[in-house]
Amino acid sequence: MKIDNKVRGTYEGLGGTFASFVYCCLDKKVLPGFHEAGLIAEAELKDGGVLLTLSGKHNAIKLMEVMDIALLNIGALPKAGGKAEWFIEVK
Amino acid sequence: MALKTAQEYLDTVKKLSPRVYCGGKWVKNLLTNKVTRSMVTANAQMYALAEDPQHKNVMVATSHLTGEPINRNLNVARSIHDLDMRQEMALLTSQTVGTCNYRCVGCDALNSLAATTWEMDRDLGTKYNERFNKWLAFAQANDLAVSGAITDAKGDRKKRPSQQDEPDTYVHLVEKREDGIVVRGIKVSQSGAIGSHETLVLPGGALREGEEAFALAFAVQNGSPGLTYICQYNAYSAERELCDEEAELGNPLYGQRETSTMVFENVFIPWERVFLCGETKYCGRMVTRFAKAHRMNCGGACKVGFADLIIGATLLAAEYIGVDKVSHIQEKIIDMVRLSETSHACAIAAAMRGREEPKGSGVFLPDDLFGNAAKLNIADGFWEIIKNAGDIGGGLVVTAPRLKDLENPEVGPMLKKAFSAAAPADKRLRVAKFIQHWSAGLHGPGTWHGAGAPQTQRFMISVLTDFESKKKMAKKIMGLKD
Repeated sequence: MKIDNKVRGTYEGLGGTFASFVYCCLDKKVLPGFHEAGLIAEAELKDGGVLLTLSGKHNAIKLMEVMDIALLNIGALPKAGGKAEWFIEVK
Repeated sequence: MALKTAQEYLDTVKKLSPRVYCGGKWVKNLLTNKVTRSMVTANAQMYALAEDPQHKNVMVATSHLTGEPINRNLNVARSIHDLDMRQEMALLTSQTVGTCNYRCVGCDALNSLAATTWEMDRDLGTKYNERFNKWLAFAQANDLAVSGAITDAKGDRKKRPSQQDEPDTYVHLVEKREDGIVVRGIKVSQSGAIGSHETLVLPGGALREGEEAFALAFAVQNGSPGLTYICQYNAYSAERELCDEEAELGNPLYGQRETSTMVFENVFIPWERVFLCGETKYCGRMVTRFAKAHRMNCGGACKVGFADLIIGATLLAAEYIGVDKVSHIQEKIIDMVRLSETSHACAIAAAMRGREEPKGSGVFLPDDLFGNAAKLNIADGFWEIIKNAGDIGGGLVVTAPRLKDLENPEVGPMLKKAFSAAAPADKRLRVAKFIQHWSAGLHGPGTWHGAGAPQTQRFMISVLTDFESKKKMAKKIMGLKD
């Protein structure tokens, strides 16, 4: 997961976990674990990943906290290192 | 790491935020709402038991996929010993928390999936078993809490799923996509999904050709958008929510059995988590295999663990009023033990007579007849057990004042006089409240319906029993000719 063009965290899940995440963001327009509407300002597929713009002004630490919860709720768990198959860019 | 500690499980729950509704409110935090916290606390205890060296044989198994130690709740039984330890786990967990092991239904569901996906791959050339094993290895490696959802809302029972006016009364397929499926519908009476990481969803019963949309088995991440949990709500829920002292409740830490109605509103399931999609022929087998496992565990061991607690409390109630040596009291206690241990004997027999099913799959399932006998026996027996507990516990079981009243300066001294007997009043009131939790609580109907209402066991016993051979045996001895 990239925030401010830096990789802030890597996560591991089953193959379809990224597809689940993309469906939530693009089709349902909600982040897993966050049920209020409007948190996602924009979401688009970009170069084999997803670019996510969250509403409100959040610093990198806050964005990381939000994404950590969102990814856990969709079944992706923190994992140190490894080569990422997909990326999520958040701003 | 393949085994999580209770604290590590709780750390993950702090970040889980499924959409849960309980008693008229959205639950923002599972650990601060008193009702949902009791469910999570019970689930944490399942992790704690696996940490305890004393219970390692029962609670820890070896993964057939990786060779790593895993929590037995994620184990696929590969031998008679595995089946025996599985039912012992059901006994131990009930004795420990006095409520559901909320990973139990998930465990029995994954055993059914292991057998049935293997069979489908063999017969149809599908890749379901490969997918399922990948999912299971992930669940085992991360020691996920996995619950199970089986029972659909079902609507008008005279109608088939596809004939219902409201199709959402059954979980069904909305859309097949390149990357997965979209499902909607309602599962009811689901135990413990709110505090689990994932839930295995199976078809609620056998299905026919033409009902492919309802033929679904999958694993769903519990924070998936579109998934809502509406918790059961009753007098015990309200009591826990409103009380200022949880220690006074019947089961202070672990609570009553917590269930929810799971509503799927266009939930996306990636193909990696789909283990049956449209193969109606295999739904009946999948559900029967689940029931086979669950009736041994739920009927013949879990409820026996509850009975142990009830018998223990009933003995204390008798001691505390000085009637423990009275002969008719002792007879009633013996009856409680007989009813309970008869079911446990059936569970042990179901495990010992278990066998590989299907042949070649490596998956062991319990003997169906003994498992059904275990469940049917305890369905009736549990009412008898709680009847005797209420009998020996006396009227105090439902007429006792609250424990805190004993400390009230105005009424406390009189209450202590009233309820002190062969033991102090506070001990009597605690035991009365505990027995109330069982005999006037949710567990009578819960035991009756859990793992299927008794009529389903009667049906299975009628199918599984060779009545003709019994008639032949009798005729032979009597000398009756055909």
